[in-house]
Amino acid sequence: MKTVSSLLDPEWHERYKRISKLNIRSSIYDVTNRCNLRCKGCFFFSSGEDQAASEETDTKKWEAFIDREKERGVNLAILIGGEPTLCLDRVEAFYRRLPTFCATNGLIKVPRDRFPDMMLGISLWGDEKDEKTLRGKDAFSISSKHYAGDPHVYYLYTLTPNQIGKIDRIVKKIKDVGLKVHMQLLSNDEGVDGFSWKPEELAAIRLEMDEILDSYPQTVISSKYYHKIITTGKMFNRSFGWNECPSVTEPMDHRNPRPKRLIEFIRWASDLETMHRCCTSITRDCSTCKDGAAHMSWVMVNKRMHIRTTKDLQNWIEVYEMFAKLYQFIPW
Amino acid sequence: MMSRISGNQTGKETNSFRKEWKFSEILAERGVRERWEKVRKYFFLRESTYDMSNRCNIRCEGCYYYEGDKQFAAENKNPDSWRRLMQAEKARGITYVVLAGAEPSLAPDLCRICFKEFPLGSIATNGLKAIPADINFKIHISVWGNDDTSARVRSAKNMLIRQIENYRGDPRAVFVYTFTSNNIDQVHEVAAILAEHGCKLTFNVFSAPVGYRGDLRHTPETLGETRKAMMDLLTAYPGNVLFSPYNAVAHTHRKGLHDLYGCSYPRRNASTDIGLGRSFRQYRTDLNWDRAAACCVPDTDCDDCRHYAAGSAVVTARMFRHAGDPQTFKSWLDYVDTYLSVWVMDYHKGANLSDRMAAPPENEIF
Ligand code: SF4
Ligand code: SF4
Ligand code: SF4
Repeated sequence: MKTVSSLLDPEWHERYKRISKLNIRSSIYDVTNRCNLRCKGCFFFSSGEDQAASEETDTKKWEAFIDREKERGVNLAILIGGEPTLCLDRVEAFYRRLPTFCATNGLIKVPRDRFPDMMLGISLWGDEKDEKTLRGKDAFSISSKHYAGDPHVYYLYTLTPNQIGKIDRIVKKIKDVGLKVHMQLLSNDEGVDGFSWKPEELAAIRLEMDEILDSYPQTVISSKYYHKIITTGKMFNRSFGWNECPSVTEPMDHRNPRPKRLIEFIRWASDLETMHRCCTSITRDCSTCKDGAAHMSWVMVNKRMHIRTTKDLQNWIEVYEMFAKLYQFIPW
Repeated sequence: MMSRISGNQTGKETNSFRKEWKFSEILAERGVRERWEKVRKYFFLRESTYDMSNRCNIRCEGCYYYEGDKQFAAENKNPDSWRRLMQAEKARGITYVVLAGAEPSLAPDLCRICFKEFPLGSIATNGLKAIPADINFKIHISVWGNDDTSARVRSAKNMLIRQIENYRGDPRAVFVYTFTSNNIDQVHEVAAILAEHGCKLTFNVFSAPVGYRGDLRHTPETLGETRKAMMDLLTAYPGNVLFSPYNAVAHTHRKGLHDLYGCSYPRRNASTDIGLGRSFRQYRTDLNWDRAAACCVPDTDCDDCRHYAAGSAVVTARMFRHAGDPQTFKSWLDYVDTYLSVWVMDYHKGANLSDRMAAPPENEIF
């Protein structure tokens, strides 16, 4: 029988041991329903999730809620929204209790004296021109001033079909301000703008992502196996989608049979009561979903499948490490 | 899986037999990066097709239009309905329209409405009635053999000369010669006449409609002969023939396009996640469409499908499989460069990067 130790040399085996200790249990929180931008194609607003619940404004209630979450076993809080930095007290309530990651558009600078080592992921939608079209503002020029050189920040760069051929320049800009970048693909829920992906575009973007990772290994947090998974939606002979997705809110998961999934995962709305179906919007068609975290988790929860060949297991380790780096469980 | 070639062809061998190419190394080969930049600007094309009319001024044997039930759809000739349809198509992301049918030249006003809404498109016609010059789409004129053959299978006299008179010197026009199992030799005579008149020419391969029992269907022997004729003409008339060695391979292979590449049209592909499976529709003359029937050549037998219009989407979509080594990637680029020159106004075909035939990924050459 194939075993982990028979497939890995000592160096890989060390890497494997380092991540297998982690046991990450994440959940996702809408910190607020408001945002200081209104990006075209933002699923939060386009799917009406901002209206799904009226936000809790009492910080005490947030604190009690987070304590309950901690008791439930959550050890990673992923804050999204809306724009979490509009409500720094709530963010702080998380940060003081749990390992916390905060997604932001970077327009408001998070004060480092209050949040010395909180990991931030800044959303980026393309070059100056794309950002102006899609977000009404060149958000990068602002966020890069706020965070240049900050070791606890990276850009979360959303690739659309019209980013093909432009990635290099953008990654270079990020490198030049001393930050890191992680790439994900637009799902295009509203069917606007770049429209849905064509196979040759997914092929082109995959090759470009591979190249960028080779050219900027210090700047890009990624793995080629992740590129393959996210551009093909295939893992061995299985296809990503509702039947396979690991990021479905646990109490709402009535799938039968249940696939391998994230333990106790819930995505909470900002009233601290309502739950959303999954890490992205309810209106999304799972067959078009390109959600990066969901694809990564899909790989991570399916370890057994990868105990096949040395290469397969190494691929699995790389994706796990990438996830662990993005949420600061292991160093860059 | 990526296809790989033997390392000793390149001198850059990394292990005993195979080299794994990085994409940047492939792009660094002569001429490849430029061509890649040139073609990928057109990845934004998202096509759908429309039947403009259910009438035709001739009746060809083996025409797929008069198979199946689309021929019985009523004609909607209302300009406003067409304008609204075109606007809705644009809104759902379509950027390219293919006007076909039976015979679009019998509905010039509707073609004009489509052109006003879409700058990019093409019209498939038999060429007997000229399409007004202000409709600046590519025009594909079907040729099925020499005039004797046309008189027999299309019941039309002096067909080629009438087609040339209508379209000589017209930058929109591309003549499409369809190889059947019994017109292969005639292509030389036809190509010579077209070249003499400065016309552009590309090739199609007869693909039998479902249930077809006539004798135009290809056999492995006639496919081999067709391939040879294509290669000969590519050499003989490089300025007129819009084609490449890899086009010849893809369309005359023993296996059909679906077997070789996996067709992504909705009819063959239940998935709606990406590409054609999601966006492509084939509208009938009553402006309805049916997902179960949608492909660019409805009612064609998928096992026999080698159609040039099908290939333009099916081969192009399989870019990743072709990006494993320089020879295969150059072939794919030639294919895409060819298809764009045939389908897009003002796109000019470059010289083929590869003058050798390459095997489709994971397949034999024939
Ligand atoms: S900044 Fe983020 S939350 Fe705000 S509109 Fe843009 S994508 Fe949506
Ligand atoms: S939309 Fe995406 S993340 Fe949500 S359930 Fe479907 S596949 Fe999973
Ligand atoms: S006839 Fe050809 S293009 Fe149409 S679905 Fe079949 S294989 Fe695809």
